[in-house]
Amino acid sequence: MRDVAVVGVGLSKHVSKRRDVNIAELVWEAVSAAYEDAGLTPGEVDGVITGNMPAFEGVNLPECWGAGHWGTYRKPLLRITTGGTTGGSVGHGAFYAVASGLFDTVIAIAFEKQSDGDSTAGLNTVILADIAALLGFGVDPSLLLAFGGGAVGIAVYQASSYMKSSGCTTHHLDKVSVLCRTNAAKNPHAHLQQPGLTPDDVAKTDLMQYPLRFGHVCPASDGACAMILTTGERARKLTDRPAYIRSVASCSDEGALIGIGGSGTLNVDPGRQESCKLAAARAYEHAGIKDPRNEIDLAEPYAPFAHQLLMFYERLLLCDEGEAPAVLNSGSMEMAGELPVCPSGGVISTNAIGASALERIAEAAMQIMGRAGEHQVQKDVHKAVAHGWGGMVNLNVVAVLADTPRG
Amino acid sequence: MKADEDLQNVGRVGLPLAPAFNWSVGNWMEQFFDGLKERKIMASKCGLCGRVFLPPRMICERCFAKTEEWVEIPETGTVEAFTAAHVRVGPDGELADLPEPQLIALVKHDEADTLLVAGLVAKNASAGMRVRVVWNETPSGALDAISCYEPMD
Repeated sequence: MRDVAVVGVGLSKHVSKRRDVNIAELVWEAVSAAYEDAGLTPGEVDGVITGNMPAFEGVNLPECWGAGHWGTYRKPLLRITTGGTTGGSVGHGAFYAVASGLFDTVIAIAFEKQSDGDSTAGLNTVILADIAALLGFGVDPSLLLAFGGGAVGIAVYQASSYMKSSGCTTHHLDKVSVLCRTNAAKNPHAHLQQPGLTPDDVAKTDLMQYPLRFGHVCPASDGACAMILTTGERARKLTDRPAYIRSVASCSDEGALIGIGGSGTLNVDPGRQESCKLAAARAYEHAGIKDPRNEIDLAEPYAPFAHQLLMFYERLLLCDEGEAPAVLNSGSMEMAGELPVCPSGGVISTNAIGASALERIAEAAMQIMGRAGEHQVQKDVHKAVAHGWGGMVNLNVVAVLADTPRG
Repeated sequence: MKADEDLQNVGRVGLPLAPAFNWSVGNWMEQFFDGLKERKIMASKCGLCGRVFLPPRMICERCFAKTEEWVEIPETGTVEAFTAAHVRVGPDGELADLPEPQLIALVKHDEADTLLVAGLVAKNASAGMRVRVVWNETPSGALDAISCYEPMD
């Protein structure tokens, strides 16, 4: 297997509504920034791997519409879509392409333009099998709304389960939002930037669905992310400090989606996320990391909901289960801390869904390359972990990045 | 699936969903639509290869360059291909027969490198036929500002 490295990252500014551009044009902004960052032209790239959420914009095959805007003219094109993990899976696909030796240089592109679409309808297409079966049995649609309600409908059960098992309180949730949104204030591409936010401010926001308040939940963003991956050899010619992707691993668990019929029965507690632990363990092993707690310098867990930052910090094997709330209180997760978490501001600040899991890898890469600007963490970042959560809320994807290739 | 189909072991389930989509067309298409209101056909041109895009698009795929130049395109062009429609989609979403077949043409406007599609009102259509735009009496800022094409002679 060949060494793979990130040599260029591009992000669009993320906002609620970009009415001045269409989908292809919005994504172009990130793509052209990535080519510029890498110092490459589309002619020097061998293939394009892209993805966004299925049906969210109501546009099928958006990659075939956008391809020309993204430098894909007469090149191999592949779309990957796996739910919330989409961007991570896109990054993994790009890694496979280069690591396998089939491609030398590829661009990974992930995006979402939520203002064009109807995300609730998009999510409903994911759980359509359940909905149709339940309605066929005469279940009242209003009950479905209470269960479904989009991703929040899953996250609230997950949050209360995690809080019971870990001792995490609503006060910890408030502090997670403060950590992320104040970090986001230093990231020019982030959506919700709230410098000076306090836990009290978060605690005063309206309750969305117990136990989560509006202040604990991600916004809906329009935005895109692109990342150029190449061989270790070529990367060293392009930049003094490439970010090597040492390993990727993903793991699909039993269904944790609430429903009765069809594909999504609730076989496991959505607060468990054992598949994240398995994926993390595999990724660390392949990356040659024996002691992640001491070796990992920075983490970008995928956390659109406040409790998930703590839950996935634990599931990424960075502390014992139930310990993350105390780690948060210690200040270690902050930008100047021992193991900064979500210096980008995280998904709770910016969520162009299909792009979000790629943006975790992109942030890890930028931090290693020293290109994060105002949100560059204080410590030198040698090794970082980037995560995505999605699928039918049962898929976890993990990537480990470093400033040196695998030994 | 039509409602009156007699299917066994099949239940019809109505989903209480009303998806709403709000697609942005982008600034390039906005300028095209603004032009149509004034009976102007505006295209964008790639500064590198010189291709003229009608309708306009922001990026030239071949050059990966922004098309920053605007050109006004004549109302005349040539039929590249055409077909005859015999049905239309009715307001109920089902197909309905048209009283008369309707011609639909792909037209390459003079000075443009790409094709527009619209109805064609002609007795004997042929590829290569020279046509001109018939404007709607009150052109709106939408594609139907071009009512159809008609033969030049």
